[in-house]
Amino acid sequence: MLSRNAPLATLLFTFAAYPIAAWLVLRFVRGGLKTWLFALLNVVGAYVACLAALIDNRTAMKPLLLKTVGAAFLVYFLLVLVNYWLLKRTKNGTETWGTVALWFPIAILIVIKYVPILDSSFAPALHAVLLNHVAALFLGLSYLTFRLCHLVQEVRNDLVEMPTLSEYLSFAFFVPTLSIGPISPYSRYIASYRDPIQDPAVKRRALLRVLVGLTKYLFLSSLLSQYTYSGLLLDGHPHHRIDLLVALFGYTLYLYCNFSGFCDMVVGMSGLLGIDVMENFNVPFSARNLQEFWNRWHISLSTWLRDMMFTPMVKMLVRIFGPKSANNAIAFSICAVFVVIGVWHGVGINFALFGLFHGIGLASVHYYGIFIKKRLGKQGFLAYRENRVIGAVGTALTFTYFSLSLFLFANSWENMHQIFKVLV
Amino acid sequence: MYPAFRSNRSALAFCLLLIFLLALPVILSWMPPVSDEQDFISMSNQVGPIGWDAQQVYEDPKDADVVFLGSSRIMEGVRADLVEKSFSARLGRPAHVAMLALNWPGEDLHYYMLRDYLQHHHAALIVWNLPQPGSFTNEPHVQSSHWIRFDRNDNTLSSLPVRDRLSLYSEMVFGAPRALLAKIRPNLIGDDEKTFAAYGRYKNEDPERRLGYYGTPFVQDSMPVPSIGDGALISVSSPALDNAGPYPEPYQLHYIQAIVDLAKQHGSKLVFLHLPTVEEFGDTTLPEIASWSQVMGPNYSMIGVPGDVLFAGVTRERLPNFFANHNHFNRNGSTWFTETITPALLKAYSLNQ
Repeated sequence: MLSRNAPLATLLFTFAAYPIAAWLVLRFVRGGLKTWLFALLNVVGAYVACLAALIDNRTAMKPLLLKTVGAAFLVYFLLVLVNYWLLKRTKNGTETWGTVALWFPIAILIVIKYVPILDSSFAPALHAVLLNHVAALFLGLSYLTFRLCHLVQEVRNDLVEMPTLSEYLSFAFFVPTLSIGPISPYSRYIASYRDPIQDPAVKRRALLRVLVGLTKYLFLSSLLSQYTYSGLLLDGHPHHRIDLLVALFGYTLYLYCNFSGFCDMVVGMSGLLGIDVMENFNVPFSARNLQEFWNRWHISLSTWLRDMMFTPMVKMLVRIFGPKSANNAIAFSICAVFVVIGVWHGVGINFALFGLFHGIGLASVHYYGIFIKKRLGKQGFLAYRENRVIGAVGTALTFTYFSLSLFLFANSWENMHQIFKVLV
Repeated sequence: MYPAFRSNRSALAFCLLLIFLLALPVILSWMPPVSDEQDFISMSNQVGPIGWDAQQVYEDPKDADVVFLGSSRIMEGVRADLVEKSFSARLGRPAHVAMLALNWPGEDLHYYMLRDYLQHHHAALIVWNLPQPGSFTNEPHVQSSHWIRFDRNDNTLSSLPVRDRLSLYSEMVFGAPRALLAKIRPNLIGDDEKTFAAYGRYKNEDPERRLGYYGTPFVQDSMPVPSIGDGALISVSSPALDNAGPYPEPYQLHYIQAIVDLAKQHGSKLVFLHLPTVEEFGDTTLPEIASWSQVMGPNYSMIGVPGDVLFAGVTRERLPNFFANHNHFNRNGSTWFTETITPALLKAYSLNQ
């Protein structure tokens, strides 16, 4: 039952085998050798994680899979090394190198994840190991891309020293955050690597986070998977319309338990190793509006996009169109950022629509906020914010809006069509 | 780092939620029960022709001359339509052959399907594909959470080891949310799912269903039926059976014995079917996971032909033309295999009359 909805090999490796090896290195090795060993452990660990993520359903194809994943990981590793070289040029060279270093990982992500030509060229090889997209060979590429881009900015802005190659590799391939994040910044990573968390209270908290995360990820999300679109509505049978409502909210809760549970384990496991990882969730379903929601859900992603895209875009638009355009610049930038969030999550028009749905929602919240502040004045607005009934209504509406958006996120066009076909 | 819980109250609520979910199968057993059919049709169509099997078990009033029971291997390996034709010709009246088979191994599912079927029908002959080397599981069937219920286990589980009972209870816990939904509104099955056309889509009886070996292009092929007549029907004590192992674990043995007892209880003759794999080309024995004569006694029969005789009419290079993968026939293979075993089926049937 436990392995039904969880890639068991990935879990066992990431949260059992790797942490033991990592703890031994961090605890008993000193100096430069420690950094190099830890880097090696993370690189090898990343390769094993890539393999484990694919091998669960394909044990019959082990030899071919080993070769395919091995070749792909070599490419992955070399691309990361190229990015390091570009990073060094950023530190020592001109602004142009900084721009190249910033966009290089994004270009690689676009090519591997979104360009269909690459997919079809490799189609026979992928088909042989039962993969339908070459991106499946590059575990955590989307997250790695954003981590490396952020590192470039931190180095450019002198927020961190230029990392050594070993520090860079251990950060890039840090196994706990490799597959689904959080997109934790290098500054945070290196600060805690050099001065690890020792406080026993924090260690106890970290252990409890791992246990609670494990319960959410393995147990709760497994149960809730039966109330998702694929678990309930796409079983090949007709369904009552109420099942759509069940799936709408069931999928939301499933996604939360699955994603936040895994993140709990990542944060906790990293904490046990002494490494501070950024939080990704902060009681998101208590949010009163979408703006608050996205400050509580997938926090590392929304923070990254706020710093790397939203703020520069707003500044640029205000510079071009003048300060009076600020509100509209903010609304436009919100929509643009969220379309990017949508397509970052997956290839398909449904993902772009998911992003746009949130962009429109957030832009509406933005304009509504301006309107209500003007209407009620400062004191009235404060009373409005503190009103519990309004808060409860807002929370329910936000949860419902998010659940509706996930219909687009969770289903391809074919699935959506199929779902409406089976409802009686 | 945030704490796992923001307050003692939220920690308590989390613990209570876990306790509730772990106890949910027991709580559901206190509520008015839903029918076995309701649980059965909640399985996904990924498991196979759920509608067709449900129609045979719960709706079709006809008793069966032959019931084929098992996994996708028997579903893909035997053409029930050809067996029905042969039996009708021999018996001089319309015969009825039922195919109770779903994907993935699991004697537990076979038992519950047969149990429900025999509650409403009589079956003269039951042909069942036992677990074979490389084609078995020691765990509950992957979809057992859909139909294993706390209040409906026939008291058959008390003899199982604690590990297996815990495994089954965990399936009940996993299936409890779906079972809860069934208490609130009935599960539905489409009328079109109960038709032969829907069943045929999973079956090599559909002439449009042409599967090549591991996705390669389908090649129409045929080979001569071995001239063994009804010689494929052998005793489970026959030296042709090779006890290749691994010996079945208590969970498997429990349901193997339960099926044997169930057939005896309902006066149905039970015959086992050995379905060959590509690897058996040239073999002089039939690899089985146990000495079945020791497990259930010597008075049972098996229909099986060793590879050297069975595949004598074809070369190793041509053999994949008859298989969809290493242990499932395609339409070429199932047609030829059905013709090969039909004399043995007729003999097994006649010995019971």
